[in-house]
Amino acid sequence: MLNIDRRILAHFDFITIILLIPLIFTSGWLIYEIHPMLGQKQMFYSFVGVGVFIVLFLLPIRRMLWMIPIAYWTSILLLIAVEFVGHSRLGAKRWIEIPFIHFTLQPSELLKPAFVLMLAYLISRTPPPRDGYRLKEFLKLSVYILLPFFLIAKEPDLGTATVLVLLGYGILFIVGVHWKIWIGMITAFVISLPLIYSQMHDYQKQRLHDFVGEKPSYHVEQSIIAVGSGGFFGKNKEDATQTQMKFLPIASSDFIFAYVVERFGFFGALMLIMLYAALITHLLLIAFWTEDYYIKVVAGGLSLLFFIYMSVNIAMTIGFAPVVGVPLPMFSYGGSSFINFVIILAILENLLAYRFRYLYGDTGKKSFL
Amino acid sequence: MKIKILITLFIIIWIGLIVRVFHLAVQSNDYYESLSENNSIKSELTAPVRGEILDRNNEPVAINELGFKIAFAPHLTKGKDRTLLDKEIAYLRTMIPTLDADKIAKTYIQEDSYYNHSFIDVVDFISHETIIPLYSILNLRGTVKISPSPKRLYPYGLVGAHLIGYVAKANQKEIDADSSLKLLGHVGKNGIEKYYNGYLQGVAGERRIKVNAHNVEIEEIGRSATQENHNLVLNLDMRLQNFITQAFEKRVGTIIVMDIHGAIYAAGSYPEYDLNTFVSGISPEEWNALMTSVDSPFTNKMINGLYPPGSTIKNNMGLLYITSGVWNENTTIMSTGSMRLGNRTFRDWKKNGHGATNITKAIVESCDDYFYQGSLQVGIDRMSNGIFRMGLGKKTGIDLPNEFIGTVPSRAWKREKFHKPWFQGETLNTSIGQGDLLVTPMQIAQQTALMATGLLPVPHIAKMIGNTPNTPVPLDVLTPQEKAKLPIIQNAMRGVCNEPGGTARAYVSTRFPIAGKTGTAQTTGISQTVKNRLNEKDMEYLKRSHAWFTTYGPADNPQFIVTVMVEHGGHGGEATGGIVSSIYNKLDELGYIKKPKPASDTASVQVTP
Repeated sequence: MLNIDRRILAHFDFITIILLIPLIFTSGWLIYEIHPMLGQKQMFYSFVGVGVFIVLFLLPIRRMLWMIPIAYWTSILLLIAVEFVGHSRLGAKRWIEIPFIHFTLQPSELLKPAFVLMLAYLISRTPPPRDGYRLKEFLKLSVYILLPFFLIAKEPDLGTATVLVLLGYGILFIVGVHWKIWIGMITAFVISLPLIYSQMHDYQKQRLHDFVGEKPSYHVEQSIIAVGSGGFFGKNKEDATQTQMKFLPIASSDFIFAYVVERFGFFGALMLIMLYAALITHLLLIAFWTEDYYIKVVAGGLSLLFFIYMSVNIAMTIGFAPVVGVPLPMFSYGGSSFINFVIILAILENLLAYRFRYLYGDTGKKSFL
Repeated sequence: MKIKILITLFIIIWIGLIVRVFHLAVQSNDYYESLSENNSIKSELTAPVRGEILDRNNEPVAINELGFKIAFAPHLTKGKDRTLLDKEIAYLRTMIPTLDADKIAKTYIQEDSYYNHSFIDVVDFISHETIIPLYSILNLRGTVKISPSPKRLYPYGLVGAHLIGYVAKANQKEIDADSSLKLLGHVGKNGIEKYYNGYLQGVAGERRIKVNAHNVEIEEIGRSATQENHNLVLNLDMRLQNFITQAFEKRVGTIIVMDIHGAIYAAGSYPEYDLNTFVSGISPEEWNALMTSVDSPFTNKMINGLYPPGSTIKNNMGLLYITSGVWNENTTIMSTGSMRLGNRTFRDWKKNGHGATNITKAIVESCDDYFYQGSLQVGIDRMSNGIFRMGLGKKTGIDLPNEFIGTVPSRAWKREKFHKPWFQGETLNTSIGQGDLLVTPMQIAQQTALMATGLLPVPHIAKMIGNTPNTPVPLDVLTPQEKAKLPIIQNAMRGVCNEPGGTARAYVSTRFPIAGKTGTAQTTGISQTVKNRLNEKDMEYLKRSHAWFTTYGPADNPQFIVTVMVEHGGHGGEATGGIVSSIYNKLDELGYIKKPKPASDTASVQVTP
């Protein structure tokens, strides 16, 4: 029989899980409506997610922190491998095919948890002084942020690369960097904008032009029509013609928000955004409340990831951002992004649930098994 | 502090998103709802069959020949790779060896693209006999589609070409104006086919269907049937039409045969051209030959040929003179053969003049002196206003496209066009139908009807548009005084064909008396571009006068108008009298001339000298 330490339950963060449940159920329902087969697959991913969560939660992560640099550098090696043995799809080299089982994986997805943990590892080893990191520490951390950024941007996958940079520096902001450095950073970024543009690929420029230009691309146009035809409370499944008749492209993944609005109207969109807002705010509060740098970085990172993904995804479906292939977190159809969030979440819950042993200098039972 | 910055930033962005969604989904809902509906509802058109054209005896003039077109499935070429296409063409050629493989490949490649998902027509027309034994074999092969495609056929070839017109492939401008042409392909380009195109073409049927983004049909929402208007019955009698084409032989010019109400029984502009060559596309060589010919076969000379009316205008002028208040029917002048005005001499066609001349003699003998002298009394204003009122310088209103109006010169016209004052010499020229006065043969036929009946009829070719008779109302253009004195002109016109001294008497040989007026119109300047093209002999031909003869008959019971104009035909009556007579006799033969009462003895009608 399991003899679960009551302190584990006391420190477990139930609020996050409670906020995620309606999200995952609504997502499964809507994907099933768009395409029953994909709906079933998404259900399978959810079960896999629960399995991954349990396994990670039970691992003694606090004792395995030495593995973080190995995971990070392995991911970096895989990113470099993409360059040479990568699989091209639609002009971008992002995938590696694992021999014999015909399973492709995207190292840039794999990197995200390792990336967040690596930052946690580095930060907790040399915590910032009271008024934040100074230039030397900041540059050292920047190397770990920018290395994967350039590798992913080269694939090219500017969307994921940008998310990584925002995530990395967002975490640094939460942890603390001296304000003068931020001013310098922003100035440098603005100055280098033209250079970044000139280095972009044609399809990326095209997307930018689609976005800046008067007329949105076919995808965005159809997405806006789907959103616009939703009304206040949405329509029946049969009347949601934009999605049901496949005018809305990639309706189950990138543009699922448009289907949410077509189906449940402005009201549905408001509920969904508020759900995300509650989740993001909750995780952010954990990050600011804790003194433990591992928890701070992972909770802050997860909060930022949710925020960046949901706002960029929604913005692009309503014509506010260029189409960059960023999914709606834990909502869009797809396994790897979903599992990624589960991994980070499980690690966070693990760090939270067992923190008492370290905070209170616990010397009790070594294992609850 | 840091958490406040982050949360504030997040909230601003969330509010931005929510406001945008509210704007789209709630405030602009109607607009996007309609866009969403447009997305999923498509209409499929079904082509109506073009109506046929029949003559007054229901003889077919323009019909649809049953045939088929061949289409290939899309995406048979992939970039430069066309093996699939070549295979299909080779297969098709084993069935129908006469097909042109290069032409098919060219047509196909032009239309095939990544974005085109519909079948591509590669052969426009294959006859019924060729396709029937192959129909099921070919249609079972998923990549080939055989569908019915009627082709316009003109059984009479070139006879009446300018009236009937033809259909040909619609150009982009026409398709932009009428989207159903995309479906139909062909459109009336000329003549009746163009004027009544809307009627003949009918209205395409529509099927409204709900489709998904891949254009796959989900369900049918509604449909409307095609409206096929079927037949258009003309006033023409193709027997008569054939007859006038033969009678005109190799001459250049025009013949108009219509009843006094304006119904056109036969009319031709010569030379004619074969209509059928246009339907499937004319070759550049044929086209160039037609375009550069001196005889301008493309010009419909009835309504687009502009000629000086010559002496045929004297009927109108005479009527205006004797009702002017300055002169009357009793006015008699002395014709000496010439008249001086300033330092210019205006000659009569008869060197020594006609002696004492009144209105009747002036028309019968076509005395120029009478009209010269009268014009100075009556004045150009009254003359040009008068003939304009009678219908010159305006469209006759015939049911053909692009009719010309000609020119009625006047002081105002000259000031506007040349910024010069009017000269008296021009008044004299105008009085005998020369100078700047230009008319179309259709106008002259119409004016002749006016002289015969006192009413100006609207010439019309269509007899029945569906079940509606086409009977335009004649215009009442004469003053009461003119109507009262009209018999004087009619009597003179009768004299032209029947009295000793009448300009046409020697050439007329009809079974009943007719009335009319001859005219010999000097040609106007020949343009430099035409001159450059021509040799000496052609130049001499082009300098010869045009011959007019416009008539109505029978003289005492007017029923028909026959107007003939032979370009460069020389003297009016001489060149045309024979043709005009044979037409009246043919009309009689065909039973169109109604005798006032059945004669008690059924002896054959005597030819009136």
